[in-house]
Amino acid sequence: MKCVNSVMYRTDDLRIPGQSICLRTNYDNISNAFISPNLYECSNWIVGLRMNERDLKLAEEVGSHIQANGSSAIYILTTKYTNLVRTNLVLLKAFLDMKTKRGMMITIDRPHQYISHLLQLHGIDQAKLQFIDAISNHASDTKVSPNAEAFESGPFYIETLPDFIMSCDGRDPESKVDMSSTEFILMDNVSTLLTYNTMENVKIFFSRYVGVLKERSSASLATLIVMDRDLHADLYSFISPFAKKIIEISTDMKVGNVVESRSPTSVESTPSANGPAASDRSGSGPQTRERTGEM
Amino acid sequence: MTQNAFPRLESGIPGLDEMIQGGFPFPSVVLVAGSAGAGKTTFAQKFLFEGAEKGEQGLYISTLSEPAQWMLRYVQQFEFAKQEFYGKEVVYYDMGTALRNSTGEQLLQMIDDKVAEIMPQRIVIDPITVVGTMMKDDYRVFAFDLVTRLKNWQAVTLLTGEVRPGELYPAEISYAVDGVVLLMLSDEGDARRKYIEVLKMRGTNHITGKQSVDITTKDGVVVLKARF
Ligand SMILES: Nc1ncnc2c1ncn2[C@@H]1O[C@H](COP(=O)(O)OP(=O)(O)OP(=O)(O)O)[C@@H](O)[C@H]1O
Ligand SMILES: [Mg+2]
Repeated sequence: MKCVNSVMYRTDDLRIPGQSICLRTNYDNISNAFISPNLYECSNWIVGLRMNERDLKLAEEVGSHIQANGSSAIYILTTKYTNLVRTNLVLLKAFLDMKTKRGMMITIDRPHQYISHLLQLHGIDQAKLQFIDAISNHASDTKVSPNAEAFESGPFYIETLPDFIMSCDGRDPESKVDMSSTEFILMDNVSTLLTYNTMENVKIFFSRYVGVLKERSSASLATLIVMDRDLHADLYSFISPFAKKIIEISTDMKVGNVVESRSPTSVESTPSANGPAASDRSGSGPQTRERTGEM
Repeated sequence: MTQNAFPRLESGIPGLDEMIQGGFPFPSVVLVAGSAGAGKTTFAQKFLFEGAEKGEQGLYISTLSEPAQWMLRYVQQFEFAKQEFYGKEVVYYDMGTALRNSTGEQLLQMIDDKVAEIMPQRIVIDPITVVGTMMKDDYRVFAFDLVTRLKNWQAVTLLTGEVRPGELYPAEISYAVDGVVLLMLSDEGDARRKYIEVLKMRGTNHITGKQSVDITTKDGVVVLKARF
């Protein structure tokens, strides 16, 4: 790593094809730029950016609220719909970079290549990240990364996705992803599911997903769901009983309210595909019975 | 079904949101087309500063090689253009120089990288039509690729387009975008009036037909309500 003189490269972008130095700086963080070799195809060098201080602070704080070891749990992060991508990036920073966890990202809203590019630009190592891409077969960029698997029937028929996730268990030599060692799952993003599926099918998807968690309950897995609770209030009220924690992220990217469920609807208590929906309709909300093993 | 309704981003243009069901669909790419001096830049700036007021991130990409300072000088006269947002919630990026000696693919990469870096919810490329006259590659292909890529970001992008006399709107880019808003100057006797018209807005039951607009120092482009 080699430091760049911050005064010399005042210009925002000096990327000149054919030259050997490729410079990019963050508008408010020029002095934090760093160089690492051979990352960018147009040149021999790239200046990666450091995430701005505000987002870094958020990554640290959010990370401290989520324990990705010991037990499996669902965490919901609520934020305005305009902040979904930014919040996802902050989570990836927290988990891949700060906690060095192995992750699986399920992309529904935009193809995985964009997330990959974003991580590269922000200097976040993605060696420990795999993708299941439910939108790539409808996207313009068709080259699938070596660490990504396309979910061919996505983004429609989303209720079959949990079984697909399960099938990526490392036993199929053809499969490029392996769930067995994954420590966190991030979905980008659940609200988009409603663009392609009925609410009923999205609910089935969730119930099955929780079922899948139950089947592999021996391993610990943090599921991270970022959503706008006001935009999809119906979906939110369906999912939130499953959550161990609900963390609010304000428009200016700060942690707001953190609500910890004393007894989230347990993975163990999901008997059928429509299980939690049925118990919710009776108005019981989060289940009050004792959890059989922490999620 | 309300659950599938598009989230909207307020335009910041007084009177416009009422015409388009509350704002631009989020995310989307919208062309703001108009003749010279019709108010395209003013419109786009207000859109960014509106976001800044809400804590959203904005990125203004200029395709003119004149330094941003000239544009800033004009914008500065508007009351909405608060100084504290410059370089923070509203970031300026000059692509003018690169335009002359880059291929379409390089330009796309540059825009992509800048967007990934700043992570804006509001993007402006002003004016996009200049790219067509400057670049050697096929502009139609470029325009289509640009719009496709921008749609993947969680943002509303405004592309401004110059409409030449006799033309209704810049055809090469219009077919690819989600919305087209037209700003026009028209002769009415000795007065030159300004109009706005929403030609298309996907997923939106928008008001059709021309509406009068005014440009004011306080709010920039304002749709005059008396007409509907
Ligand atoms: N303070 C003001 N009050 C009223 N009208 C103004 C004010 N400032 C500018 N205008 C009007 O706005 C017009 C310029 O607007 P703007 O620069 O946004 O147009 P444009 O469509 O971007 O033009 P160009 O084709 O040059 O890019 C001026 O021609 C003038 O008529
Ligand atoms: Mg202009």
